[in-house]
Amino acid sequence: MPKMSLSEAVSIKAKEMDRYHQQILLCLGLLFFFEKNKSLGMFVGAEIDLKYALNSVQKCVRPDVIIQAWKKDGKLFGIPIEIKLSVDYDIEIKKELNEMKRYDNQLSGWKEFEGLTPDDHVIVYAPNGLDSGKVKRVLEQELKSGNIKFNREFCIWEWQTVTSQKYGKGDVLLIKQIFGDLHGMCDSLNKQLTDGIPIDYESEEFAKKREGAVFTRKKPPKEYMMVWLWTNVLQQSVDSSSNITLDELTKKVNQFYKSELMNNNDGQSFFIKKDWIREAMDWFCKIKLCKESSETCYNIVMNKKIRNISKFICTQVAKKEKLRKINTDTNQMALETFTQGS
Amino acid sequence: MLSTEARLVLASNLKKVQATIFSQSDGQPDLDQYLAKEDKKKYLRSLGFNFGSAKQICGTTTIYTINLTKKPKQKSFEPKRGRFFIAVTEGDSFFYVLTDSNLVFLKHAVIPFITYLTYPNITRATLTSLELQNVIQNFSATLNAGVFVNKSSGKGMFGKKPQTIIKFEKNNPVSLNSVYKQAVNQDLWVHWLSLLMRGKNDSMKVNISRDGTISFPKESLGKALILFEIIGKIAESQNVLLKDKEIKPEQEMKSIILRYGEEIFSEKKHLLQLLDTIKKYKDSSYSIIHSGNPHIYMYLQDTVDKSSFSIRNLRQDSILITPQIRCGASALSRFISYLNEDFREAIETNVCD
Repeated sequence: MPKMSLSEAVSIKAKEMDRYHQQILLCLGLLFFFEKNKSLGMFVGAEIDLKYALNSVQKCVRPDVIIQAWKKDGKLFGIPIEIKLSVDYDIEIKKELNEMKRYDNQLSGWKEFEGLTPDDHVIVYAPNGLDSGKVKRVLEQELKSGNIKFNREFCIWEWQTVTSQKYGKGDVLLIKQIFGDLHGMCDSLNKQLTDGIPIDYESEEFAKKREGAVFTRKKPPKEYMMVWLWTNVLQQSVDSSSNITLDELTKKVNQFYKSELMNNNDGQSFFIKKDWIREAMDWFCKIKLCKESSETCYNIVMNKKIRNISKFICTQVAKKEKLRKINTDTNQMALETFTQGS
Repeated sequence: MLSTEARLVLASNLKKVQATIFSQSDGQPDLDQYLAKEDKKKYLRSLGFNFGSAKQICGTTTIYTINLTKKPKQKSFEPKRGRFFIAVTEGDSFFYVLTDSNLVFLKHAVIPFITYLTYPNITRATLTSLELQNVIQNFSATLNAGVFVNKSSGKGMFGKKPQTIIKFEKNNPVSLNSVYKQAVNQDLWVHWLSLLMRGKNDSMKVNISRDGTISFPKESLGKALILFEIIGKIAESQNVLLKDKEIKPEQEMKSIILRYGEEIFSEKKHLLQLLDTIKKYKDSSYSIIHSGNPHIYMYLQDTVDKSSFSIRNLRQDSILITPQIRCGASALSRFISYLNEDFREAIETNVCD
């Protein structure tokens, strides 16, 4: 593995935060589209488990988004979507596509709607528009060579933010089906997807949804959680002693931040997990923005005059991780030398 | 409105007056409370302020006389020393600050002193150039006087420094409307005006700025108070717009939208200028989640009162500001005024429904 400089490590962390933010944008885009087009289908949720209907070693799959769409015959079919924020190399794409095979099984756990649940599903892989061309190329090669085979309809939905007079003056989130065919199942949705669905994510209506959606059910990168907690929650929640317990903090964030992206398929809200907060708080202790006064009580260090919080957090975490890696490598080398010597 | 007794007291103590207005988002300002707080005094001393105050009750108005010294940051500079008055009238959510020292003392000693003393509950009343025009027109209508502009300075968009581009000879004053037309033609906001208000029997000279500072001779105190009142009411309505916007449990978030009336963000350089302007905002820290292609999404925290809000550009002509768990009207007002002055003036500031 080539050695990574600190600035590269910081830059990767910043990208990871941005990608999580973009994933929220795409999930909200799909939610927004199906709310406006109820006759086509429904947005069931993000990061909800689907179970294997038949016995399997693996018990469930967790797509990034689940859609259920109406077929021409009035029945429902499922669309589990795996979102890919960035993919670089062919070998990585091949691996990803092979992993998509896990959806090529009979699945249960769909949302019941008016007494109906999907009796079958298609599989959707959703890469960013910057990567969709190479994903399509690799998929076609793999299908042609017989290295990969799907028993269900497999689609590629690319997504990207674009500026075009065609869609008005602002930027839109464009979701487009570039591989696969839903014709015969749902002609109208198929047509819209192949033409490209432009979502006006800069409209005030969409913006209001975005403001509330800080998380999906997917665990955010720890740096994202730390930045959000430090800027918006921690210092606003502590008493004069600057102390706060993990339980108080978890209660507080769940009291204020809820979004439809966090609902499960019964419409019940999912909560921001205590584990996510604990991990962020433990990292605050490691980078000395907090002190752990007991196992679950933290003392916030208020006298830090940090201008760029996201950069500070990413840099400090990257430094600590690098140090930890050096220590681990050194210990490993020492152990190997010892073993060889003995 | 200031009591008659208070006017007499001020008139007898002042010569040429420099003034500004502060307002409180909730209820009536309690200056006694601020001046008595030991932690505030200690904090102000740590910032280089030394002061002594006296209080005088004049009917419905209370006047605080404050002697202030502000130590310079560099030893080679002279400290700023002077006296100023704070006039608080019962029932008003705003109060007036007046001094007969120079404008430098007002801007660099008095205003920071009061800001740090009363923040986050109290903020300065500032105006957009459009509001400035409305204030002057309203003032001239009340006085039944004509408005003539002797001099004016404009400020360029996107943080350019003030320029005296609209410059006029004293003996050849022009109308307010023509100054505004010229400003538009030159891509400038009217920032400061030196005016002559000419009535049937008398006239008044007054200098007024977007940043809320006003200068006038002591003889015009009575008329200037009308001007103060008009500005105070604008500050009051802005506070009503910006207060109680924090997230509440089980309620939808409330956002503030700044509309620019032009698609300024169609050029990426303006997005980057916005980002740069926000990065330079005083007493704050920020986090960037997405920076500029094709939009900006960031969090900003006011480090004085810990207010925080997210900021994003919306379409190509607006900015959306969404308060989080804690967000005072003063913090929002301070930030919006800053963007108006150092980035670009919004033509409309409203709640996003």
